[in-house]
Amino acid sequence: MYNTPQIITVHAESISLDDPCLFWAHSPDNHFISSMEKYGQIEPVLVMAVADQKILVAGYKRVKALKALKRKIMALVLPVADPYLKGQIYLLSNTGQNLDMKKTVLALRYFSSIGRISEEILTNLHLVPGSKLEQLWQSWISIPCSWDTLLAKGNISLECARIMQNLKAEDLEAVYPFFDQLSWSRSSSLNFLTWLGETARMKKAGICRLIHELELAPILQSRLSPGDKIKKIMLVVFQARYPVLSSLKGSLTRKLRQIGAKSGWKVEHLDDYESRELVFSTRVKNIQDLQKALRGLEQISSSKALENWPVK
Amino acid sequence: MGPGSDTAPGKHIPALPEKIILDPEVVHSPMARKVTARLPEAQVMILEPGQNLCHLSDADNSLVIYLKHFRGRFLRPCPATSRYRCCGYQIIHIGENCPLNCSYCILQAYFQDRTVKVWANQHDLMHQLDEAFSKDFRKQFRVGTGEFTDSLALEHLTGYSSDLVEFLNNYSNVCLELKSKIIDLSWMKKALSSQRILPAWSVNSQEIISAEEKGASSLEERLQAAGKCAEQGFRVCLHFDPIIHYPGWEKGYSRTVEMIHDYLQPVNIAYISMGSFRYMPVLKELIEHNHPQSSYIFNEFIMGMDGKSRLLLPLRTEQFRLIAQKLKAGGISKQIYLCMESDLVWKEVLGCTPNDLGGLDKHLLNLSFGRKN
Repeated sequence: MYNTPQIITVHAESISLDDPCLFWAHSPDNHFISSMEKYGQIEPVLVMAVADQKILVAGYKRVKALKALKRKIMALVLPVADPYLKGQIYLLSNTGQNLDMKKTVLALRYFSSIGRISEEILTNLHLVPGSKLEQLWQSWISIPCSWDTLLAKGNISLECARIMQNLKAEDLEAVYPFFDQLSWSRSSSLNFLTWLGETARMKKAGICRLIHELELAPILQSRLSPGDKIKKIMLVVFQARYPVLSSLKGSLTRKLRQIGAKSGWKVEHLDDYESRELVFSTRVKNIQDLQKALRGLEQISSSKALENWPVK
Repeated sequence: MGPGSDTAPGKHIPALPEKIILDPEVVHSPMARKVTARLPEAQVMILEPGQNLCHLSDADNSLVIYLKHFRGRFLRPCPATSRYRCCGYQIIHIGENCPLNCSYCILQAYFQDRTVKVWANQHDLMHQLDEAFSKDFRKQFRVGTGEFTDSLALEHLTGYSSDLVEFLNNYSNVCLELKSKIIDLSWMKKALSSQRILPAWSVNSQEIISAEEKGASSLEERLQAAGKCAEQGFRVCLHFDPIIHYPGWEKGYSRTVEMIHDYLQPVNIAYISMGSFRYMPVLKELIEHNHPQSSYIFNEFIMGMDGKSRLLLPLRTEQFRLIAQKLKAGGISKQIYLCMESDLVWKEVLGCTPNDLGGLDKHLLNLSFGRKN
């Protein structure tokens, strides 16, 4: 297709830098400008000639740097192409870049906006077509792009996309501040959205209303540390999602703490009430520790603490 | 043996398959002849060697019946786990998948299309069964076909249960349970004795049947059919499975038990099981996708010790206790058992463990053969 490339030299002002295909465009830093000043332009930028204008399709940073240096720009003129091909050319010209969340989502948003995310594009973005990861990205780009910054910042996990794509616009809006203001781990963000969504469906209410009923916004606005805010929000949402389990867990935890208190033993129940088994654990460094632990265990077994253990 | 037995009240016939796919080996089998004759409108296709079934299935996911030459084991134990008590019955494997559309059905996870497979090489099936059952006639078997498919949902096309009933007439050591959610009593004509055939129905509250068992017969139709079987001398089995926790469940399940007492005497019932809704993680996603109106999947489930999600123990024991208490009030007591529950739950609900009954499999074998424990 590009058998007769033509290299031209033009002023920066005559190149349009507005084409959406430049989806990763960002301005050069001083180090880059100094480097251009010292070594000059080593390879041409890519443009397409439309009427008397040159449309940039790759080399944004170089054009900006050369413009700052008031130098002319060497450009390779390509035949006019459709948005898909322009995007593909831009992507291939930038294959050396690290593909982080931000870059991937920007590229996918561009190709999605022109209605064509081909297998070739996915492969160039290091996504295996049909893979779970690709499906997650497809889900992500179905939610509003205002969320992209939160994803790029790491406030929310990509895995949440599958839940979020099924939320109504007002519900998405209602949960936005929680991710805007707090940075959630993968499991916390997934649990938060899952529990909220499921509770809302059980109660036949919207997430928006549920957030109001559970008074989650005041927790978000409180003076607690970000970690404590997440902990408290998760507790409230868990209690709403699993009311009976929460209440059982609460009383059981207190009881097991009492049983283990001063004995040196940690007492746990790990089966969510499916069994009556308890796990006793302790650490010993020497025979004296072991003897002490045995006394502690004897103390527990001779007390009445486990008489009514624990499931009604 | 029953007079005009297939004209059961409220007879319910599921949707008819639009296509029949055949393995070349079974093209001339009696099953193929029967099904093609009963579905004259259906398109018939023969699967060529090496050809994949999905190439012949319809993109619109319409119902397809696949008459297959099955090469595996026709008789196999019911899958059990170490921490929960299994009833120990053996499965006669006659096919896979089901034309009904129950929202909670595990078959959605096993088979993700609407192709119902029927093992058409019945001769091989009967040969394998004969080998197993005739080795020692003192050894008794409790067998059933309702594990990977509904025992009767395709009976009007395949007559599979009738064939089995006829075949098993010669094996006095085998008791066959036919478990279904629809009504088809045509097999009754082939039974020489009413003692070793146990017609069985899943029962639930009518609210759950209406909302979650689309395509199945109503509770009343099932119990009327059970009553009709009882009139003919058959003992029936009922399975409260899956019991679902929903607002108003107490009233719903109480009504079901009342109806059971209306239609059946305790002596008519071989056994009744109770099983709470439980699922593998993948099933939840499928239910959410396939049945978006079904909100029971958002109940308080925890991960059980067998890797399946189950309703929180105090919630499900409350349900079991209520149903058991109401059944006992009507004289149905010894026949009640729990499906896939721990000794802890057994003790809390029924006041005993399977070991106290001599082992659940032995206990149910006795009940199925009408022996008093």
